[in-house]
Amino acid sequence: MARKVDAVTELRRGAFELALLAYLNKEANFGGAIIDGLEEATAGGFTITEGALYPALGRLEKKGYLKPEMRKEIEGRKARKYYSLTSEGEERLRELKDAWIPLVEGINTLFGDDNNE
Amino acid sequence: MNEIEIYLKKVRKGMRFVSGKNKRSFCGELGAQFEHRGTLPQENPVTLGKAMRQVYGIGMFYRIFLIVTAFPLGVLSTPMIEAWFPGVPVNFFLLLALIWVFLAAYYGGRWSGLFTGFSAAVPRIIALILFTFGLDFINKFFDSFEVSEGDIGLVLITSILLPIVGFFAGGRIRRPD
Repeated sequence: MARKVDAVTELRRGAFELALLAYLNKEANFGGAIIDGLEEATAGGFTITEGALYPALGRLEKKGYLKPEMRKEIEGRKARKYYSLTSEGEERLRELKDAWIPLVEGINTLFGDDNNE
Repeated sequence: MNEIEIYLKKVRKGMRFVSGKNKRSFCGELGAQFEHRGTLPQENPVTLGKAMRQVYGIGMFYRIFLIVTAFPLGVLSTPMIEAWFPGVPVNFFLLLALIWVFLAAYYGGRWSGLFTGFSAAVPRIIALILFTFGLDFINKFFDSFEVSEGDIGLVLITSILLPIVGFFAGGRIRRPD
């Protein structure tokens, strides 16, 4: 069942899909590296745990936005599941980005007014 | 058993009823991650397993089990069954069928909810047809058995609602965090 969540959680949840798609659009990666990479790429803006990442990856994969690929890069170690964007994922990313940019610009303008006071 | 094996065992516990293929795939992914980072995930393993169960849903075997067992519940929830077995708690079985449909919708998604609802509704609809259009035939075995129009309407509405509830509930409540 859906839990009662506060506005900050909702905000992060909404932006998370966009951040994940944007990150994976730059480079295909696997679970652990996505956690570190996303945190680094967003300058600490997105610190996520496995509990948030894996269900999100699973959902995006089920929706057809992500394509998993098993790669064994180091001999003697387990194969890793790399995620990359499908053409539907790229389309979804464009759609989210188009909605996101004017929203952020608008909110930043509001903050700008506050900062000038 | 090392720490990652203990952790994965608890993840599998959280993923109870998920298909073996999905469990193996996810635990393999976590195992590979452990090799990469050298640390266990921060998340509680059972919670993580349950979150993944929300994504994958329960396995096909359990979905089929819910669909198949909904059929006898549908039979027992039909008011006309009192013609054969007086005193059957039909409302109790109707409630049970509804719970079954919700369980299928919650753990298996909207299609499981829909098919479980259909499975429970089919015997009710068959009974409805028999007791409306085939009442003469039925009364060859029973002395002037009657079904009120109210009962017929109630059976019809509840039967139609079962798959509809399953389908829409599946879409609404399967929202992972």
